Amino acid sequence: MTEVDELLARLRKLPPVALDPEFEGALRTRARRHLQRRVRPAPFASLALADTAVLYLGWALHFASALYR
Amino acid sequence: MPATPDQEALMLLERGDIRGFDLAYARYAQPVFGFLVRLSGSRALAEDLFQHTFMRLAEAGPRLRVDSNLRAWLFTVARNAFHSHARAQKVEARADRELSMIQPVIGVGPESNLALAELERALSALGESDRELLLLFGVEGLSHAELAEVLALDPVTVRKRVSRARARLAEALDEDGRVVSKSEVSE
Repeated sequence: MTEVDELLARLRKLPPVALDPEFEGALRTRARRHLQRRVRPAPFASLALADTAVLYLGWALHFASALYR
Repeated sequence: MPATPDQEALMLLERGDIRGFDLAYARYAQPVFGFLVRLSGSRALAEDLFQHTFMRLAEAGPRLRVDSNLRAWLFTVARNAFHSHARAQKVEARADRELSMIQPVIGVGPESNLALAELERALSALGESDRELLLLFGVEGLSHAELAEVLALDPVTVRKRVSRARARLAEALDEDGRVVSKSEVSE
């Protein structure tokens, strides 16, 4: 083994650095919340939005057809 | 062929499953944090950058391709966060690092502790670019290809730079593994 390789082997032995558990807990909670919020579908909100759009389009159609009556 | 743990984490993240985040965190939190502490020389700054890195995973993880190199991606985000901060603050990470902040997680004998502390000193006294290379390649064990991805360089250049950084670290230590005083170190 060369001097350089021994040096590399010693670098690999440097100990890991401990994370503060409190900091870690807060970060994981924040990240989890973010991830859940981002991907979880909101069925009630989506349905309400779709219903509103359909109602509006129906009303617009009805209004437009009334103009030509 | 069964999926690797990284692919599994990415598949779960793609579906928005928080277990994907937990899996990636369990595998890479410690190495990324160690890298940031040793690179920045400040535990407080490392915590900020670490938080940024893993929040990026929560944000961008679902969009990552399943065949992405998760480890290289995380180290790239961490490294970029550090350099953005350094540019914004116009501060170079200092050579006289807070060595006491590096508390080993695993137990090592007193003799090894001394030798490793000297190695930490020598590493922290290197230029930022050399230190970054040796932390990623030497301490964290990234391959030349991964290193090339993280640093956005071609692998041949990466090999040369790693070799030069290793040589400079070797120069900074004497035969007993102690840090050579600055006046003794040739440029």
